[in-house]
Amino acid sequence: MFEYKDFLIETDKFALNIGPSHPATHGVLRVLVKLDGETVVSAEPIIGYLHTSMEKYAEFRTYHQAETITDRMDYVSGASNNLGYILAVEKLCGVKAPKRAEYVRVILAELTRISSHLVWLATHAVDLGALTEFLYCFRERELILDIIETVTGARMTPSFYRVGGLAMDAHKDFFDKTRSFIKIFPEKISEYEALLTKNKIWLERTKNLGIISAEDAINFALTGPSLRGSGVKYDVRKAEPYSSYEDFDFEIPTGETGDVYDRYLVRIEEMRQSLKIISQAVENVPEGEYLSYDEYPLYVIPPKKRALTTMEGMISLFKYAMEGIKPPKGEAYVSIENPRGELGFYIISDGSAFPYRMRVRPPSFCNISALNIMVKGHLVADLIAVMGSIDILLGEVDR
Amino acid sequence: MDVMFALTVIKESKPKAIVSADNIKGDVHIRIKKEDLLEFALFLKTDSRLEFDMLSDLFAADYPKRPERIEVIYNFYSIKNNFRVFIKVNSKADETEYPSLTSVYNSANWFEREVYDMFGLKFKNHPDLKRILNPDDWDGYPLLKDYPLRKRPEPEEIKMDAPGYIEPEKI
Amino acid sequence: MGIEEHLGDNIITASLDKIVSWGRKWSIWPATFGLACCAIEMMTVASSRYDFDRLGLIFRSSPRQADLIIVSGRVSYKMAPMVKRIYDQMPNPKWVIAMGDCASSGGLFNVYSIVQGVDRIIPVDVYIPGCPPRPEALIYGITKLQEKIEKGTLKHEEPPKIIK
Repeated sequence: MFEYKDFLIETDKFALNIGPSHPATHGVLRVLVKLDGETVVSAEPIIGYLHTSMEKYAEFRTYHQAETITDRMDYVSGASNNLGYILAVEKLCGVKAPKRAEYVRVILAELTRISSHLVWLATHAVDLGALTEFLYCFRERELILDIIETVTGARMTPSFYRVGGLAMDAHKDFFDKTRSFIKIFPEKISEYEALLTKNKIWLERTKNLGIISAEDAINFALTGPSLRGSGVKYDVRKAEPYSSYEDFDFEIPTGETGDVYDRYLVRIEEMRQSLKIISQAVENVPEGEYLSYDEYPLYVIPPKKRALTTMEGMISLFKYAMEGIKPPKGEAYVSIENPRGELGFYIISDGSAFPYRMRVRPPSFCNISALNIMVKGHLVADLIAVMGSIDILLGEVDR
Repeated sequence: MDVMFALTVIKESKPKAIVSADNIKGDVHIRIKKEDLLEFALFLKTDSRLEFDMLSDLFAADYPKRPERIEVIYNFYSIKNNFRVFIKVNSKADETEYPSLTSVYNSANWFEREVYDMFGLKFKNHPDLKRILNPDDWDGYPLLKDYPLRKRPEPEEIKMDAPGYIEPEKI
Repeated sequence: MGIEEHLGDNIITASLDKIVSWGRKWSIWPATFGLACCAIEMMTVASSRYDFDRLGLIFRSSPRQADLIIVSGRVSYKMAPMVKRIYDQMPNPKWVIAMGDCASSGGLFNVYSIVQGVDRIIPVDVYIPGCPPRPEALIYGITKLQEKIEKGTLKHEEPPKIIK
């Protein structure tokens, strides 16, 4: 008959499939883990389960229509992605947005950064067993979404920027709401930190875990908090300032060892720095035009009065809406600091109203590719902690 | 330091490899031959004046009318010096000798898999060249210009037998 | 009036169908299954401001313990077998909400890699428009599903057909 050992499964070399639908993979990531007992021998991320062919689709849409694809790519930080795309198109056209538009863009991008980090903190903490953090973070995230909704009309997918400025002027309510948010938020960050930063369980589960050295991080093209956690002081906002970031005073937080805990600290500090940038921008936002009308009639719409009272204004508005803008033949690359890292847009134009090729340099794509060397030798339960700390977003990994 | 300094250094050290070099809107674009690519990348990474330690991006664009229709664009970045250069290499779609940069940069691994997935360009000596975003049995290379945007299988054609799938009647 | 007269005030008579449907209506357990943008809004509905629990919804991480699947986002051809499989793993009776334009009809993404509506692989009960729908829209969709469940019966029903 059967013996006891017949019912045992081999555990010395064991393949475990996590995902693509798993609560801890933050989307549809699939990880094929090879285990020795409970120790991870190798972890191979398998991606593409949310492949939306955005790069191909952008070739069939006009420049402004393609903007709406970009915020559905990284759906937690829509305004930030729109900014990268619009800056690339502006570079292609040789247009520069007026100062007021740039400041509003910065406020929106930094608000999005905070809200994205809040989603990250909430989900990361839930994975490691701290459910309260989830309720706290989403409470403040709603406040941010309210502010974004006030000005753009959408919660997550604003598509509010236009070549040469904004779709409409930012209302006074927007600045008032932002001011009141700035007042309450520092206290809330301390609240999150009180729950986690010196919590014994949190420290045990995150310290000395998922370490990646600075050399490896650079070699894998990691960017954003994952790179800064390893002690490399690289931030696109400082290295190649865009959209008036040179006007603001802020610091780049870095970690030392490059473990999960350091990445956590870096993101918490980044929220504080973003708040600092927002408060400077709100106080110093200049009056003036929100759209650079100098570029009329090639790249922007005419002022409203002119469109309604003159024939050529009417015609150019019609052409703008029906044909879209036509940047000159050429190529342009712009990278911005997304909440997850360096997000680059490389646009090739052939002079028509549609991009010839739009390439997105996805930060999460590179960050998740280094998962294997981060988790090697750790336990399976720690894999979840490491995966959470990288802060991936599958919409952008798969595009 | 200015990126034009980097261009001067590259031009001085590798005059033969460069086909053309120009400055488009402040970005340095260098076109080289694919035979020199591996050596060129090693030089960019190891030269003490340049230190391009990050392969920030690698992608391709398709120009069907050119004899060598695939244009592969490399985006090298130096964190220390804040240089960024774009290296362009032309290739045929069915090229068999196209060099892979995986031995120099780890990030090239997934990027090259993506180029293979989308354009069908086979990188020589790549450790694990397979599709990355599309399903393994996908037909065609979607980012080629002659691939229609809406070419997709009927839902009845989807193979529902993913690994471990059991027909509901048998459960 | 009939049997109730003899039983007193402590007993209510009703048809079994109604009682079971009432119970099902207030204990819908959705599977934790997120795909794209809408998944974030689905999380928001579970969070402090909107608080899904008051409708009796509790997320279950295993499809075997769930009776609702909220398809929140675009379904790619690579993901389609998994969606089908999760649906097949759920015990009867089960319901499906297609949340957002992409899940309902493909929406914005009429492209090669996206299934044009999840109703081509699994039968859908409630469609919620929006890109992404607001959390209020999802709550409204759930109340609509509750209305549908209320009209349900215990008798064996033919499972809904897939639209082709």
